[in-house]
Amino acid sequence: MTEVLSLEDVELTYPNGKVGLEKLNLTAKKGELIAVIGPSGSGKTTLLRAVAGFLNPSEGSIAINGEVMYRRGQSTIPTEKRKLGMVFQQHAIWPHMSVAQNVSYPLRLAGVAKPQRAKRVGEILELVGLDGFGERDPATLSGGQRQRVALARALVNSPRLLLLDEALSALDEPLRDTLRLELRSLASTLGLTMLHVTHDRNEAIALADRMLVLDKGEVMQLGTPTELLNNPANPFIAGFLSDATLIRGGVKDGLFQSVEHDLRYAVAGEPDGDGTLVILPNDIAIDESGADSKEVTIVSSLFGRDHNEVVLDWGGVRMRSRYSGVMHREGDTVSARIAQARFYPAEDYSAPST
Amino acid sequence: MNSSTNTASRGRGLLRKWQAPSGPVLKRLTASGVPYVRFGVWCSVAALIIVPLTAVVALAISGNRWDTLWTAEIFNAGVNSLVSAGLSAVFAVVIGTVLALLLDRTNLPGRGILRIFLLSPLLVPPFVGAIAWLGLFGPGGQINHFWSQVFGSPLWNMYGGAGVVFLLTVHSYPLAYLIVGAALRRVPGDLEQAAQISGANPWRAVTKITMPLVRPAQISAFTLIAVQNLADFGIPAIIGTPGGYQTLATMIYRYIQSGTVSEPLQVVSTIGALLLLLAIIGVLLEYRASGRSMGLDGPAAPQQTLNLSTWKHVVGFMSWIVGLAITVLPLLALAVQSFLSAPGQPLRWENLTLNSMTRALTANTTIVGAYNSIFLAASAALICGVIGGLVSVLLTRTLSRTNVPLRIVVMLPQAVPGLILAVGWLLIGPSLGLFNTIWLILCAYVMGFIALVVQTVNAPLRSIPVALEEAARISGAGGLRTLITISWRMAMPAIFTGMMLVLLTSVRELTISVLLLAPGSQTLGVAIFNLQQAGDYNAASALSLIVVVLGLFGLSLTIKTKTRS
Repeated sequence: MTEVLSLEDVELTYPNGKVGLEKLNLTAKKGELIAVIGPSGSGKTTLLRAVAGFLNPSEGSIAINGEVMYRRGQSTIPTEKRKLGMVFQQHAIWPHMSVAQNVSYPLRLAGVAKPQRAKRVGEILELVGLDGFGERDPATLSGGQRQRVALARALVNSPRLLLLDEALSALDEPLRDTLRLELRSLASTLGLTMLHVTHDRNEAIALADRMLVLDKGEVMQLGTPTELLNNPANPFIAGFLSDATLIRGGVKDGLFQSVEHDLRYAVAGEPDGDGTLVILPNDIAIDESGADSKEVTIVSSLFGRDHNEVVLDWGGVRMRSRYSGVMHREGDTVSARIAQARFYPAEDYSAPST
Repeated sequence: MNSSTNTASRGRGLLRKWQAPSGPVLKRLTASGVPYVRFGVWCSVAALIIVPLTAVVALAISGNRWDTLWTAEIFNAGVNSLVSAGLSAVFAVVIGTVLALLLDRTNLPGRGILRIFLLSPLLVPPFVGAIAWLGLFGPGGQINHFWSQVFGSPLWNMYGGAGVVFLLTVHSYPLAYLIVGAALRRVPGDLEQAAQISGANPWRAVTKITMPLVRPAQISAFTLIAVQNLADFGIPAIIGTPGGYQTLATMIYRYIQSGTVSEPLQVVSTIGALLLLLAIIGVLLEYRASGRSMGLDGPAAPQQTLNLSTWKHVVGFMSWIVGLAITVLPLLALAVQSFLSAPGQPLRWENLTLNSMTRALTANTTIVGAYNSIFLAASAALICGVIGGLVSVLLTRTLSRTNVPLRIVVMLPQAVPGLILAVGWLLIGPSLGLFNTIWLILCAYVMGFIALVVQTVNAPLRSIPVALEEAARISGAGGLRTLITISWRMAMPAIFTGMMLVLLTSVRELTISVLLLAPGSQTLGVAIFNLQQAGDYNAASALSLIVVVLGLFGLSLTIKTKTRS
């Protein structure tokens, strides 16, 4: 498999000393959609802009299709020669050009002859569902249509890599959902490699072949959505992606003891030492009585299509739980059971700031 | 992944403080070609702005005529300048603030139309305003004439210091209103609503919450107006001089015109350097004041209209009377004077004539003046449009260390009295071989009015996201190409508006033209001024009337094109 994008040990420090990216390694295969996600300020946009060439790393190298775009000490390939496509959060449609002029701009710069240009623009507008909109003034389009124009412009010259910078975030939820589906099908029909930056966890999980989670410029985990959801590499991932309950404490003789509460949990096979107990919301069973169940109070309750979300008061610990069945109200007492928990030893972790 | 299991161990506080990168860091439009544009812009700005100002300062220093500043004549003129500029700026800001509150925040009857009337002095050149007011309160003005007949003595002879301050105020309060009003509109309505929820009544909320937030705008309006009035020439020359009230501006004019002192240019440069110093101090003070302005979010909630309730009609009536008296009355007087056969005559049918109109229009000086003014204004607009537009594009769409100095240099002439600009060109004119030519006036116009374009273009251009240029770069456009096909093209409508402003301002310019006057290079403003100085008040009024009417016409055209784009 060819590597479309490859980042090696990329580091980026801003002139004011702030760290944008730290020792970042990433490769993207052809046709792969990688979602980049993290709390605000985690460096996800910085990463995208470094790939685009709007920012240059301080260390490391960036290559596209094996061709070096940036390596320290070597001359940098400027943005306009990288043959990329990009969709911006605020669509960035040029107001002084018609839809067709906007879309054909990359072709014009690439020196494509006029007849081919018109043909290609027509094809691409049809692809994004804007057939016949070519002569329209962008100001007369709706937000969703403008974003489609932006997508058409990004795709028109068959970019080697499509960069999406919060491309769907400015749209309304139903529209976002539609475009998400279209993006996925475009990716497979065109065999397009994409780097998709988003702050929407569900969007990243839904779209991505692989997800890259960043925090403070550092890679927290890289893997398929299933891997990240089922096997979070560290408490941060569990907290950030799944709203898991994180309890600090220590293990002694196979028993976890919280430092702040009297919560205990048997963790057979774990060596003694300090660490964090992670309880995923799905791992708290509600309305199940048994030997290890406990009567808990519901502090907050949200109704959902597939499952309800509650916050429980577990003897002083606030725990997030996801369950299906009858909805409980705040103040209700239910019996609950921790079906599963993981212990992550040692190392100070940083709680996600969501 | 090796690093994926390695959890972060840095301070947690950092996470919250660290904002997503935005702003100037991301403005990277510095690649191929753009440096040449920047170099070119710097060269023209250096030639047009830095050189003449340096010439003034250099001659002031080398001439070493600082002693002349202490002669009674110049010292008095200096005090008069400071007092008239300071007082008129204070009055203007007070009136402007009251108007901003009355017109924009209350339910004053007919405030929409009254606003247009009250803004109209902005469209009348100050020296034309002076001629118009003389028709009312000059020794032979209509009101004084009437008053003498009824009470035996004139009401108020406006020649002298009080008249100068009065007229400067009348011509500055609209600017104060615009600046303070804009700031007032930017204060989000929810701030006042929060005060009301906390128990303050609407008026209290305005005075205690909104007004303090408007203070920086008041200060900057004060500085701007004071600096402008410091060297206004038309009003003190027409109103002050006949009453023996000299300001630095009229002194400079007298020295250059009539060689009453030896080495007039050195003395004038010294005065110019002093004015420059005052202007720079003013700008620095303003900069400090605006630096303290509070960060406001966008207008989250619309502002509430203050109810004048029982006072509504009284206040409304008074505002209308005063407003019309200040704005319409002088223009009526101007019209009356234009059609009277001789100054000071009572307004009767048999005294009305078209003679002054014909005399004003057919005089050779008028025709030459009109031709020169139109040529100069059109050329200045074109040159200012190109240079100012490029400066704006560079300032708002590119990232460079030279941007801050570029902005300061380009805006400097606006803070510097027009007289000094003229003196600067007077000094370097001979070495350029442009002495006594119309080109010298053009250079000075361009120098003075580039800032108009930059100001007009900067704000709309700044609000366009950088992503528009980045999208072009991603599409394969180089730096220069992006600058031309995206940035410049997007700036075009605003540049056009800026050019129209330059055109309308320079077509009736007086201060610069009168100092750089050369044989055959007189402008419309100078033609009116000379008619007035020669005592032909009626012809001066007639020509003024035409200039005002044409100016209003031109402005309404600009507004129309502006709303269309």
